[in-house]
Amino acid sequence: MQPLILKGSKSTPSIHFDPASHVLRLQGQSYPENASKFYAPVFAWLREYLAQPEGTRVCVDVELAYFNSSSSKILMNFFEILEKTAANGTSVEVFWRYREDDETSLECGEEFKEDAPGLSFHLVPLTEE
Amino acid sequence: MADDSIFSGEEDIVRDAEALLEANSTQVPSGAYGRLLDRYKRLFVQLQRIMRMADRFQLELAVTSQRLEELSQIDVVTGIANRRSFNTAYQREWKKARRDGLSMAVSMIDIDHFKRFNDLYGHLPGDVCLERVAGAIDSCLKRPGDYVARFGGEEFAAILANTDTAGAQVVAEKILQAVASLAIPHIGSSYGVVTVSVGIAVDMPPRDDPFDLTLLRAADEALYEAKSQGRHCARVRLGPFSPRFPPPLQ
Repeated sequence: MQPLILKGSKSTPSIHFDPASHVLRLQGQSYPENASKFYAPVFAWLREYLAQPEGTRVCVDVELAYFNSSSSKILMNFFEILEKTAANGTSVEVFWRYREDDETSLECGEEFKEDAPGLSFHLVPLTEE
Repeated sequence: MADDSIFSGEEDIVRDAEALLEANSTQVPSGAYGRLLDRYKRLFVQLQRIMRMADRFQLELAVTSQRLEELSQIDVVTGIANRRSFNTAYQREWKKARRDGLSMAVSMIDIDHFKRFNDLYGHLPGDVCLERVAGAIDSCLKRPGDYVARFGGEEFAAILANTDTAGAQVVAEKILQAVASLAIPHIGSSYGVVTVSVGIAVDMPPRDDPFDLTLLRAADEALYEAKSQGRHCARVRLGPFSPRFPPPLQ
């Protein structure tokens, strides 16, 4: 299976989903004009990846400083799919990375964490260099 | 394509609920309503979370936008209003004066020999000088309709609403004294300290007059007069629409 690599833009996050290392990384901002359309290939890739019967440890790395409501709905759906995967025995670890001084990003991370109690969900502050 | 909809969960619930409603009650498996309700409840909680997040981002954007709006009106060196803000205030006050039939005064205030000050002391002390002079001018403007901005370079502009020549001269005199009392040393000036010159223009906008910059031009002329007559002084020009006032003195 090929990795999914999308270069980020001002309104879309960079996406780097690597089936070899099992690291799914999302970084940047997300307010695409058409969120469903933008994320459709991402979900297609994800479903194919998760369908493979591997008892591996999936690591999901999210660093989103800003996202619109459609994108937050998509993240809810994303974590829901991962929760189902976790319930089926695959270990899924989520790392929600937020800038230390970004209270909004932290609180959003908390919302997603509470919404997906079946995931091992970590809120990780990024300290400024 | 339903899978690609971001609302596939909601759409599934609606479809299943419709199927339940259409089904004969004996065909409905036990617990079906409860399961449907549980799915709905989960999405309802999600919706609340999404709203809270959206509210946070929107609040943040509103605060940022407000802050940028404020910053766009302020001169970064002196902390007083900038030229952009002045243009808005000038138009507003001019229209107000025209509507209310009141006179309005504009003062152009320029630091004397400021180029020389910069050459002698450097640009950073020049900035400090600008900031202190701005503060001194600001402290002389106490009425609600009074307004001062950095007009550009070493020039400031004040608007005095509902003010006649005598009133504007009193304020100008205060400004001259306030700046001189800062006692900022200036060996390039014959006064030995930083001083300003003030050009005042007073006018009463006629009712049918469209907005223009006559008053500003008149204040600028008065300022040149003050500059050419020894600096550290104020001169007055009356605008062309001030019939209530005597013609300018020779």
